Amino acid sequence: MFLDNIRVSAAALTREGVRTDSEMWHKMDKGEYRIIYASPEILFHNASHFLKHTVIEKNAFRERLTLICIDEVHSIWRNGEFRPEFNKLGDIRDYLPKVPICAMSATLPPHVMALVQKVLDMQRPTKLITCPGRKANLDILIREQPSRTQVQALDCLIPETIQNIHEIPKTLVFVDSVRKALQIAKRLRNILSVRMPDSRPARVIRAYYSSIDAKKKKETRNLLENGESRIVVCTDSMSLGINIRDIARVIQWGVDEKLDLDTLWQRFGRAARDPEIQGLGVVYVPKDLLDPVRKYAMKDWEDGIPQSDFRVKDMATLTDEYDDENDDDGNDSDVDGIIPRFRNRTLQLFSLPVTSQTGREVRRLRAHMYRKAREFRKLRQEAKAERRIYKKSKSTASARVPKRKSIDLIDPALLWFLNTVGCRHRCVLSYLKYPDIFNDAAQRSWCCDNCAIQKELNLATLSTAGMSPADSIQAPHCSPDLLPTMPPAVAMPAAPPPRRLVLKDVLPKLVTDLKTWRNHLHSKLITRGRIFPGCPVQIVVPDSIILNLAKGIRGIHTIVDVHNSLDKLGYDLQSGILRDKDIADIFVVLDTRATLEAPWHISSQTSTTCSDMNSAFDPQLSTTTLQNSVSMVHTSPIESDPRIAPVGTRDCSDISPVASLSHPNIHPQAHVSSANRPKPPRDIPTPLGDLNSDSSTSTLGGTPTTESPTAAQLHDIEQEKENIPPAAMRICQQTKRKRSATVPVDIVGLTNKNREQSNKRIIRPSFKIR
Amino acid sequence: MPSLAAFEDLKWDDGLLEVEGTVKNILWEAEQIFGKRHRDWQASAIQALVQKEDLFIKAGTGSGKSLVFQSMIARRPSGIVLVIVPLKSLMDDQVHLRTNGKVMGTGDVSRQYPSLSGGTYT
Repeated sequence: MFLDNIRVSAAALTREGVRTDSEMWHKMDKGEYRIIYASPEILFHNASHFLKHTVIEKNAFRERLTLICIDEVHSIWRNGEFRPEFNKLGDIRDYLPKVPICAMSATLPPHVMALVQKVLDMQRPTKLITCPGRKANLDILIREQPSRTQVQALDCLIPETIQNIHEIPKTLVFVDSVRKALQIAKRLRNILSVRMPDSRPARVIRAYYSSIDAKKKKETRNLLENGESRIVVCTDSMSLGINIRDIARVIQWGVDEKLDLDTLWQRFGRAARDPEIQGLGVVYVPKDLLDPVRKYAMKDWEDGIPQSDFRVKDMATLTDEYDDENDDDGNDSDVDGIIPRFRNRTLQLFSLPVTSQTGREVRRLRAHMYRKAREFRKLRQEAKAERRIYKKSKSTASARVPKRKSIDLIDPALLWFLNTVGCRHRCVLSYLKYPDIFNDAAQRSWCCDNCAIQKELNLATLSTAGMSPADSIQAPHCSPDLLPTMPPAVAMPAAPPPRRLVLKDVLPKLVTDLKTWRNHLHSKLITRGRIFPGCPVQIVVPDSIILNLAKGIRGIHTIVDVHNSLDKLGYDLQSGILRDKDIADIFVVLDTRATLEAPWHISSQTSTTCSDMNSAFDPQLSTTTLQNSVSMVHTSPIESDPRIAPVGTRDCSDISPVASLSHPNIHPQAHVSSANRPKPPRDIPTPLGDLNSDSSTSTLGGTPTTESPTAAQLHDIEQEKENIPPAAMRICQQTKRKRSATVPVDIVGLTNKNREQSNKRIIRPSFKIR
Repeated sequence: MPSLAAFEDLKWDDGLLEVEGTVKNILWEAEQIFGKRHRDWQASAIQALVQKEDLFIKAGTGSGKSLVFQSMIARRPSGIVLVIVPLKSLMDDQVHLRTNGKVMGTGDVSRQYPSLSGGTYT
């Protein structure tokens, strides 16, 4: 009805704006602006027009004001400390009591909401409207930060073969200090000028922080918006309210006590504002924030029960350990207590995944976090006051800040986000209490590195904004799932030593097994109509091939070996009846029998290792895991019809990631390049070298040399065999083979310790609800 | 054009009918001004605000938070909304978005938005 008369004008009150246009305040009072944007500083500084005139005098503004809206209201939580005007926001209620207040933010966990409610004096209970919070077009990646000072890790932001600056995805790099921002910007400019000499590095890579002048800031923002500049290295001043829609990558360089999960999520919120593009959020984490949690989690999971009760058990030992180390620093005891830290945290809990089973644990952990965050804020404020006093009294020594373990200082929610073994999106959504925690299906891409690893996607092939989940800190060392994705150049292991078997004993059993399997397959193929009912069994695999295959058992360690053996024995893999799945089955048949028949005792060294391992985990559990993974091999789907694809190029990645859980020697890369596979060097110094020195290292299905141990040895073996349950035996065999595989894998940096840890990862049980 | 006083005397809490009527008005008007349809949650937010209730809105950027407070200018004839934002750059973006006429869909109305005098911010 009065649309004709409507004049909507908006104004932003800023210090500069008010200075240039002195009438602005008066125009506002007269009600000329319909939407007024203002910062807390301009409204609430001591001599502001707003406090002195606008809210006191009778004017159009006061009469017609319908809403006070406070955007990004979570800033009250953090900024109250260094922007005191934020705490005065509550005064607005006193001046304008009848106007409703609308507080908005993307990150409002309960403790923040409680503080906001208190500061703004909102009516209680306050209504809360929650929208779905999942960022469906954001992938999350955690990468290792080698050290705080070395920024070489960021070189990968610029592609090595760069032709055009637009190949660099628009990137924001968040750092915690101006100096770091300048350092990184300089480094990246150098890299760019080397990789692409005709570019303009100073324009393409910008630094942005609060103390640069306004003109330059604006220039940077414009350049980023129109795409001329591709990487902006910035401090927190960029994290709120930058509205560039096509930023593809947000990188958090380093994690310290000033960062919390809310802030991090705000920063990630800058990525992929445009729903059409896929964004990536990367955190570079120093390893010392992850390892302790992993260590304690491993220790705890050994018992099969996660320690969930904060009240009953705290990590007293851990704290003591840290205290001791701190005392070693000497002088720090003077300033003890000035920087607060989290004490007695049950670290292993921070690896908790958010699943439908762990609801209760997660709720408790979350409650713990909210409580801690509140306590910690209080502590920090006290500490700040304390430090101020301290500085006054002892100004000379005050420069020394006590050294703390960074893990004790870091925000618990952030620690959880970094350490969770489950989906990181779920973790954030659960912490921020959004409703759509389990709506994983909405994710457009690989979601987060943990999800990609757990879903057994081929990590190397995935990539968002120039980075792949294969770069994840979770991927390289601790996850057995990585094996299929290791770059072939490094990951090619030397062939493991041949199995120790008494061939003449095993051979008949193997042949029987294989024949049973063949009969089974034969009948299956008939029911499926792939062969005629009258066909002889020999058509599946001829007897001679079965016999020779069984003879080559000592060289068969992986599915690939079976494949190669069949090829060597003259089986026509191209047109034959066997599929990849069947070859995997053959391997399982052979391997099971060989493992069962393998002599137990080989040398004192291995046996101690075996018994160690045996006590370290529950054999029953491991066996079930192994069997599970084996059965998964059977049921794994084959995507394309393998009959059509030539065998040489056939992709067996659908089998191998699963199989690699139990058989670390299986490599798709090895499969692909098996024809060109180099012969393993003959005298590799191995820990098991002494026991294998008598047997040949050739593995590829050659005719095995029949060597039988002496009668006395055999007797020993038989005795040992009786003492040990078959399940445990199988485990030890597994372990042994893994151990032997650690030699080549050491190239990749896997130590035996890591390997043991990864073993334990496999048997990690799902969280039980007590 | 109804006088301001008439609106002052209205008691919004009297009955839901009245409120619903107001909300509908606001939604309709805001749609005319900004050229965007309201989603359910935005409508319920506006309803709460019309009832003079304080409100938390937990929503990510880009989910349409702005439309809620923008719509509230239609609460009364020439209603005013005060938005407190912690950073200047955000204000800048918002004001420019507004004055570009990009958001203000319907032609006639958008022409009436003055380009801002106070619009040079950093």
